[in-house]
Amino acid sequence: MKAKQKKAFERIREEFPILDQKINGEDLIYLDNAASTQKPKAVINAIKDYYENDHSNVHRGVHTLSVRATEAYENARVKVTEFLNSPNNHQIIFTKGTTDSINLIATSITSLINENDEILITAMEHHSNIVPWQELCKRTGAVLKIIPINENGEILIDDYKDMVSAKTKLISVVHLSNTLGTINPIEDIIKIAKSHDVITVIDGAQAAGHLPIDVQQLDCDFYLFSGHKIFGPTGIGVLYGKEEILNRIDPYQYGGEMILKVTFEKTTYNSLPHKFEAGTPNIAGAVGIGASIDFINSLDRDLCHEYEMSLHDYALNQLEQIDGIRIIGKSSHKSAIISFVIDGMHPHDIGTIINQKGIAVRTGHHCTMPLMDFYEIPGTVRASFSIYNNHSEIDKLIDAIKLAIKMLK
Amino acid sequence: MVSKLYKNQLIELSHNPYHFGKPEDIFSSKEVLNTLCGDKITVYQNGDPLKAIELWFESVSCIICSASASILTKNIEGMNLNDGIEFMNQVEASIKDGTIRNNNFTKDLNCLDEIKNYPSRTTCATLPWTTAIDLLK
Repeated sequence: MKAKQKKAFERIREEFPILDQKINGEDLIYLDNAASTQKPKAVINAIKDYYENDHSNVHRGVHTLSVRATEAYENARVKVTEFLNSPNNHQIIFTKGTTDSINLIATSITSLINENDEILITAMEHHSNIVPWQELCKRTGAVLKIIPINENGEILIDDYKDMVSAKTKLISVVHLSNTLGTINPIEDIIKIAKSHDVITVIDGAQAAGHLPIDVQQLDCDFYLFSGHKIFGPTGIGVLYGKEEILNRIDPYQYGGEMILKVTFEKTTYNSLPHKFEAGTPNIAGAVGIGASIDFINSLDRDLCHEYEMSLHDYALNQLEQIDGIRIIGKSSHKSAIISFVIDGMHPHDIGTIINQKGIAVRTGHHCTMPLMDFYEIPGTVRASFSIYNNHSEIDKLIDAIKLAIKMLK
Repeated sequence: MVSKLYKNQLIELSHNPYHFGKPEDIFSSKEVLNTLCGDKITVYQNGDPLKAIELWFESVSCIICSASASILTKNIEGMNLNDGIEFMNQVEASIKDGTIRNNNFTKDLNCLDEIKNYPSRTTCATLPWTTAIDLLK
C-alpha cells in the first residue's frame, strides 16, 4: 500500500474521537470491531443535530417538527434502499438490529411452516441465527437441520446440496462469520435454494460494513444487518425482504403505526413497510444509520477492504510464529477477523492481560457455542480489524500476547 | 496492575489444583456453565455430606476459576454441612464486594482479593462457590 494511501487511513482515524484516549495509561487499541464498530463524528453529529433541531414523533403530525422528523426517518430508509440496491423503499424495514430482524422473520413466517418441514442453518451460525429457528420448530413441528463445515471453517457445499429437498422450507445462513471471518459463498447457496423454492435468509451483520451488498443480484428473500456494526448507532437494524413474501407473512408486533383502520371488531393492517414497524420507531437510530451509510459511501470501499486485509495478513503472519498458537478459521475467502487459541491458556486470561496494555479484543464463545464445540474449545481470542486500525497497533498486540504468555506460563 | 491479579500463587494453583477430577464415591454433583464465556465446571461431593464435606471438581475454565475452585476444595474439606454452607456464602459475598482481606479467612484466599478491580472477572472467581452452594444446600 502506498504511503499516500496510508496517510488517507490516518485521516480516517481522526474522524473517530473515541480512539483518542488512554486505557490503563496506554493508547487505546480497539480490535473488537466484529462486536461493534466505533462511530465517526459525522454519525455522532447527525444524531445530536437531529435531537437539537428536528425531533418529534414521525408520521401523521402536521406541525413542522413532525414533518422534519418524518423526512429524516424516511430519508434514512432511502439511503438504506440504495445501500442494498433494494428495488424500492418499502422493502426496507427498520428493526432493533440483526437479532430482531431474524426474530421478526422466524415469528411472522410461522403460518407458512408445517410439521416436518425442514429449516436449514449452518454449523457456524451466531446464536441469534439458531435460537429463533429452534423456537419456530418447537411451534410448528418443523425440523432444524445443520449444514456441516470443514476444519478450515468453510461450509460443505456438496453436503448442503444433498440436504436440500422438497421438505426444505427455508435456509438462513451467515454471510460473513463473526467468529471465523469466513465469507460464505452465498451466491451459490441462494442459487441452490432457489432451484428448490426454498426461502433464503442472509445474516449480513458482519458483511454489510465490509462488502458491497446487492440484494437484487443476490436474489435472496431476506437480507439483515445492524447499524452498530457499520459505524452507526446501536438499537437500529435493517430487514430487507422481497415484497411478495413480506406481504404473505404476518405482522411481528401489533399497535400503532402498523394499522390502516382499527375498530373494536376488526383491524386492517398497514401496507409495507409500516406493517412491520409497530409503535414509535427509533428515529434517531435511523438518522444515525443514514449518516453511517453516507460515511461509508464517502470511502473507497475496495481500498478499505484491501487495507483491512493488509492488517489481517500482517497480524496473521506474526501470530502464526508464536509457539502453541492455533488459528480458528482458515478459509481462503476471509474478512479481517482472526480467532485463535494458545495451548494451555484461557482466552479470558489473555484478554484481561492485554487489556492492561490498552488493547480491546473479544474473548469467549462469541455467541457461537456450537462452533466452539465443533473445534472442541471453550472460546477464542478474537482480533477484528477496521479502517481506523494500523500496523503499529498490531505490533503492540503481538507484544502484549507474548507478555501474556510469559506471565501465564 | 494485572500482575497483582495473576500472582504466582494463583497460576500455580490453577496448574496443580487441589481435588481436581472425579472422586471415587460421588454422592452428588452439579455442572454449571459460565454464561459469560461458556466455561464449564462440575463440582462433586465425595461421600455423605452429613458426615463431612469433601468437594472435588472438574472444569474447562480460566486460571481464576480453576484456582478459586482449588481454594474452595482445600478450605471446605472436613467441614460440617451448616458451617460449610455459611463459609461458602461468606466467601462468595466477600469476593463480590472486595472484602476478602477484611475477613478472617485463611491466607490462601487473599489471592482472590484483587478480583475486586476486575468486575468483568468476578463470576470467574465466584462460579465454583455458587455451584458448590447449590450442590450442598
